Amino acid sequence: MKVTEVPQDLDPSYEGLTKLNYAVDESGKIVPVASNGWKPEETAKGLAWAKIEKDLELARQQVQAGTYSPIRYFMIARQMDVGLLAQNMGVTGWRVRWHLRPKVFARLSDAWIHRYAECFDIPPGELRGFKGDSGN
Amino acid sequence: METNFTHHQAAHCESGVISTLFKNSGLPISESMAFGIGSGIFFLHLPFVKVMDLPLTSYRSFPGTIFKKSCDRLGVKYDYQKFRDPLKGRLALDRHAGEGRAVGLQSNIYWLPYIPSQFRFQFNAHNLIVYGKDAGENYLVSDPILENAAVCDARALTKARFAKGPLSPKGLIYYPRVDGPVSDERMAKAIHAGIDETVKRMLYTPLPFIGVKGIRFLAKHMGQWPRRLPDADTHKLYMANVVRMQEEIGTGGAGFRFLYASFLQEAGERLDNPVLLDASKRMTEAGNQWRGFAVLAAKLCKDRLDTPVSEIPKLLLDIADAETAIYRDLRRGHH
Repeated sequence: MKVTEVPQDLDPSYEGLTKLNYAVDESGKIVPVASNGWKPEETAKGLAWAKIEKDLELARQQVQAGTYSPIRYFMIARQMDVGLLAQNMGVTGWRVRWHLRPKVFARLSDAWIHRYAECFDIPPGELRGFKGDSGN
Repeated sequence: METNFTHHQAAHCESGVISTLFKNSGLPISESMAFGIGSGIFFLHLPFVKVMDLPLTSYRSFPGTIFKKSCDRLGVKYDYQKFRDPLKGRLALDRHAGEGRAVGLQSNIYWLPYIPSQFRFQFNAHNLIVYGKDAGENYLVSDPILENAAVCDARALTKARFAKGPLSPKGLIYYPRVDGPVSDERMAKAIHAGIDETVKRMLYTPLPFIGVKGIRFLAKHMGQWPRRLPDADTHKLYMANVVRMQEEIGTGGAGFRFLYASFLQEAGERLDNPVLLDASKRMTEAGNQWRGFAVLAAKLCKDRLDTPVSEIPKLLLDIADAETAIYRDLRRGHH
């Protein structure tokens, strides 16, 4: 890639920042050049985010319908799966799955709610009170 | 707080941190040199290890190894400490900051508030430098992927340093203890050692999913994706994931191939070695091929592919051939 070929496709997700690419200048020397975006990268990243948003919307509906407890919604929002959440909580995956049941969740002690809320970096009340209403 | 620390932007987080730490202790080692001496370039595709339901593809070596290897090969001593207790880890960082020592940290990029939101994924091996603390509870951060230094509040940074999961950072703090310049002889040895290991790993790892064999392995699996995966959307996500690993995280473009070409050029000039200079040119060519692959993959993701799907894995086979030839020539001719 030549310096003049370094893409400047202005990816909005860079939020005005740039990223270094290494490219060949006229004298044949390889130098770092700032780039503010490249379409193929933007496409790939956009697809990954669309998937997360779709999963999150599904999780919201599931919490609303009472299929899962609010833990599932925030787990997806934090881009975690059961395994990763369990590791961050320091418990087994079975335990997290158990807490994903709405009935079990309703009986959870404040201590548990606090630990989950800490893990998700949200106020405990938000976790306890999340109903899955849209706009929440 | 007054510091005499200079921030440098880099393409890749780990080699950028190493280079900046070296430069700030008086060793002029560029990012590409740190990357090449630490044998940073790599290829790995593990279809049976899933990260967020997608097979793992990596273009760089295991996190943490570039620092240790580049220090060892340059004969620089270093400190490398992990913590079990977040509080102890935080106090240790405060001590370094108080003494005005810049240190490298491993962290989970998801929890770093100063990173643009769309770049924040649950990835545990992001490297950054802390070089001090402000009057309040904020750390002064030099993150290699940013143009300028930043600040990060203590709570967020501690959360990022002690996130759990694969590659968990465990509060890692590391820094080189430079005690003088590196001799030309030592530098030459370090360059050769770095290349030797890269060649060995890329060509001769006796496992099908590593090195140039790994590129062919990915090509084979990619050819099967259209009929093996349940639907077109999953196929697109699989493709997009390979492109993201190649371009989105700081790679300098083309999955570190341009960065490695830069190393080969700098090393070739330093050692006056035409084999390295020639390899550098061809590595740039290989990088262009990787970019071409990313363009086609992105077209597939947007349903704008004007060539048959089967052409995409063929590109990877061409790249594998090109890289094989480069590493073979390096093996024969770099000493």
